Amino acid sequence: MIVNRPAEAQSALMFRLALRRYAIPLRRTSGVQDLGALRRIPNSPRRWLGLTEWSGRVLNVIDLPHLLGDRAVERAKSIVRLREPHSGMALYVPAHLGLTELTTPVPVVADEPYVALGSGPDALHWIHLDGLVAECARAVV
Amino acid sequence: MKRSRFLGLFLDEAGQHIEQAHAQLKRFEIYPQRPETLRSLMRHCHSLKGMAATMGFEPFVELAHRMEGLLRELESRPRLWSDELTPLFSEGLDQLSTWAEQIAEDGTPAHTEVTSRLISRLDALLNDGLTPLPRPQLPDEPEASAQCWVRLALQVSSASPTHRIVSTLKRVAKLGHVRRVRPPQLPVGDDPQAMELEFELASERTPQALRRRMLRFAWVSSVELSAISRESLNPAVSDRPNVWTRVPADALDWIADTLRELAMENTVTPEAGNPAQRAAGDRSAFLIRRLFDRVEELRLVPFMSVSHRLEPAVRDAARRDGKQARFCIEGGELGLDRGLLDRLVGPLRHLVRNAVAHGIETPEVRLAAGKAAEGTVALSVARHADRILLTLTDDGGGMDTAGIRRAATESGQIDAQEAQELDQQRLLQLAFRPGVSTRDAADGLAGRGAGLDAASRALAELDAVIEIRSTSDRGTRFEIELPVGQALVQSLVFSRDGQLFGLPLRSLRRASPAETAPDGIEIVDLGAGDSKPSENGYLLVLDEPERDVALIADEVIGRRELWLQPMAPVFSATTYVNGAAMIETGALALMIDPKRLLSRPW
Repeated sequence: MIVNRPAEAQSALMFRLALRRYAIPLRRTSGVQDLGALRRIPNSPRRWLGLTEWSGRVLNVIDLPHLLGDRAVERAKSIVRLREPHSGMALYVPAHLGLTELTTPVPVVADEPYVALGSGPDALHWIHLDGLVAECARAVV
Repeated sequence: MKRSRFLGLFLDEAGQHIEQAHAQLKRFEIYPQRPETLRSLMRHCHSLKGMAATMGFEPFVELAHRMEGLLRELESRPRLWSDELTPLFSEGLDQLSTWAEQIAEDGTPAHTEVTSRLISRLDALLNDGLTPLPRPQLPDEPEASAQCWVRLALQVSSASPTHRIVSTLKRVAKLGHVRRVRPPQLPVGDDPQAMELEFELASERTPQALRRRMLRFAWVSSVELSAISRESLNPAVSDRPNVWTRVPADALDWIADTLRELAMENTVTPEAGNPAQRAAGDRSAFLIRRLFDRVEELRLVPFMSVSHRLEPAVRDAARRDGKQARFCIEGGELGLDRGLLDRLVGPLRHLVRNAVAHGIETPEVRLAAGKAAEGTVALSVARHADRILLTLTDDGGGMDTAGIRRAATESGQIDAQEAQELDQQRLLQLAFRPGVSTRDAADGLAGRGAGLDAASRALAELDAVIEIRSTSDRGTRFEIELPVGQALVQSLVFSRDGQLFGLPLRSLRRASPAETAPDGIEIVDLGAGDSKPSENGYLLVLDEPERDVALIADEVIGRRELWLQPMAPVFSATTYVNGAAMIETGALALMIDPKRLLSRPW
C-alpha cells in the first residue's frame, strides 16, 4: 500500500519488547515474513544478525532488540523488510506484530533511532528508520 | 536434422547477421555506391537465407532471398537508386528480427499481409523501381585513427612491476588500441622504483587528451607522445587489416574453464621445490591469470549490441500506431556482462514499446504542437562508480497522470482518496502495477497493463531502482539504476567449518592440497577458532603480489558463476565479505573480498 499522509495519520506496525512498545511506519516497509535460514557473518558486529534470503534476494538483517537496547519476551521471529533507500535490509523483530493508526504528530529528532510518544510503561516508541540505520552505522564503526 | 539441436545456434547467428546488416545499412545510407558495403549486406542476407533454409523457415528464406536479389541488382547496376531502398531494407531486417523472436518463443514464421506487401515492394523495386540518379555528393570517410608512440615513466613497487605494467596497459587499452609494446626496461636513472613503458597506440583521441588521461594514472609520472606517420610504420603491422573471428560464447566459457583447471593443475608444482621451480610456478600462474583476465574481458558485450533487439520494437510500435519514431543509443560502447545484458533486454523492450505507444504522438499532433513529425526514443547508458545508470527518454506528450490515477483506482490498486494524495513520482510508479493501463483497448503492443508490470519485476530482480519524470507535452524520462556490484562473478565455492564461501577466481593463484603447505606461507582461517581443518582440505593461495597467503578450505565445491548481491552499505566497511550469492542448493555463499580480508589482523 502506498500512503503519503500527514504525520498525524500514519499507519504503523506495532510490537512490544521487554521494556517498551514500538511502532515502525508502514509506508517505509515492504513486507513481513518469518525469519528463515540465517547466514551469520563471521566476526561481524553483534547488531548485524546476518543474511537471509527473501524471494531470491539477499537481505541484511539487523538485530532490532539489540540495537534498541531491549530484549524479546515472545517466541515469534519475524523480519520486516524495509523500502528504499534501505531496501537491502530487514529488521529482526522477535514479537507479534499488529497494525495501528497513529493520529498524534510524530516529532522527528535528527539521528535518533526512536522517539517516545507519551510517557509511562505504555508509551509508544516511534522508530525513525533513517535514524535507526544511522545508529547501526555508528555502532559498527 | 533435429531442428531443436541447432535452433540456439541459428538464433544466435541470425541475431548477429541482422545486427551487422543493420550496421552496414547505416553505411549504405551514407555511401550507397560503395561496392564493399553492398557486398557485405548481400553476404549477410545470403547467410540468413541459407541458415533459414537449413532450418526450414520458408517465409524467412523468401524475404532474405528477395533482399539479396535486390542488392545483387544494385551491385550489377551501381548507378541505380531509389529513396525507398534504405527504409525497405530496414523494414526487411526488422521483419527477420521479429520472426527470429517468434521462433525463439516456439513460434513458426508465417507470412502476414504486412510481409506479403513488403515482398511485393521489393519485387516492384527490382523490376521497375530503380531509377538512374546523379550520384549524390558523398562525405569523405573519416581518416584512420591517429597513431602515436607513447613512453610512460611509471613509479612501481619493487615487488610488483609486472602487475603495474599489466594494469597500465589495461587502462591504456580503454583509450585506444595498443598495437605494440616494447619490453620495459629497469631502472630509470637513479630511482630503482621507476621504469619506462613504451608502446604504440592508435586512438581517436587527440594527443593532448591522451596525455591528460594517462597522467591521471596515479603511478605515471610523465608521458611522452610522438606521432607516427603511416609510412614509418612497419607495413606488416600497419597494413594488416583487422581480422575478426566469431567465437561462440560457450567456447569462451570452455577456455575459461580450462584455464581454471590449468590453474588447479599448477598446484601440482611442489611448493617445497627449489626457488627456481617456485619462480617458474609463480610465472606460469601469473600467465594463466593474464589469459583468464583476457577471456573475461572478451565475455563483456558492448551495450550497443542490444540495439538490434530494441530498434525494431520502436519501429514496429510506430508503424502500428501510424507514428514516426527513431531510436538512438548513447554510451553504447560500455561493456556489460552478456548475462546481465540478456536479462536487461526484455524489460527495456517493454519500456521502449511503451514510450512509443503511450508517449510519442502522431505526426499531425506533433506538428501542431510545434515539434518535429518524428519523435525520438533515446536510451543512454553510463557507469557511475559502482552503479550502472540507464536513462530512457522520449520527447512525446508525457504520461497521462489523470489516466493512471483513474486506471489505478478502477483496477483496485488504490482507493480514490489515496490516489488524490499521491505525489507525482508515486503516481507515475503506479503505472508499474499489474492491470494499470491508460489505453482504452489492448492491442499487440500495449494496453493490457501487463508489460510495465513485467518489466518492473524483471528490473527489481536486478535490484534496479526506477525513477520516472514526466512533463506534459515534453516527454518522459525513466532512470534505471543498477548496482554493478550485483554482477555475475566467476568464483570458486568452498566450505570451511560448515559455512560456504565464494572466492573470485581472479583472486585465486592456485589451490594446493593442505598437506603440501610450504614453509612461511601465511594461513587465514575463516572458521571458528577451535575448528580443525579437514585432513583432505585445500589451501587456496591468493593472487597477491606481495604476500604468500592462503585460505583454508575443508572442501572445494567447485567453480560457479555467482550472482553477487552486495552488502548493505551500512555494513560493507565492517567485514571482509562484499556480498552474498545463492548457489544451486539454495544455500548462501559469502563472497570474500581478498583486499579487505588481508587488511584485517588474523
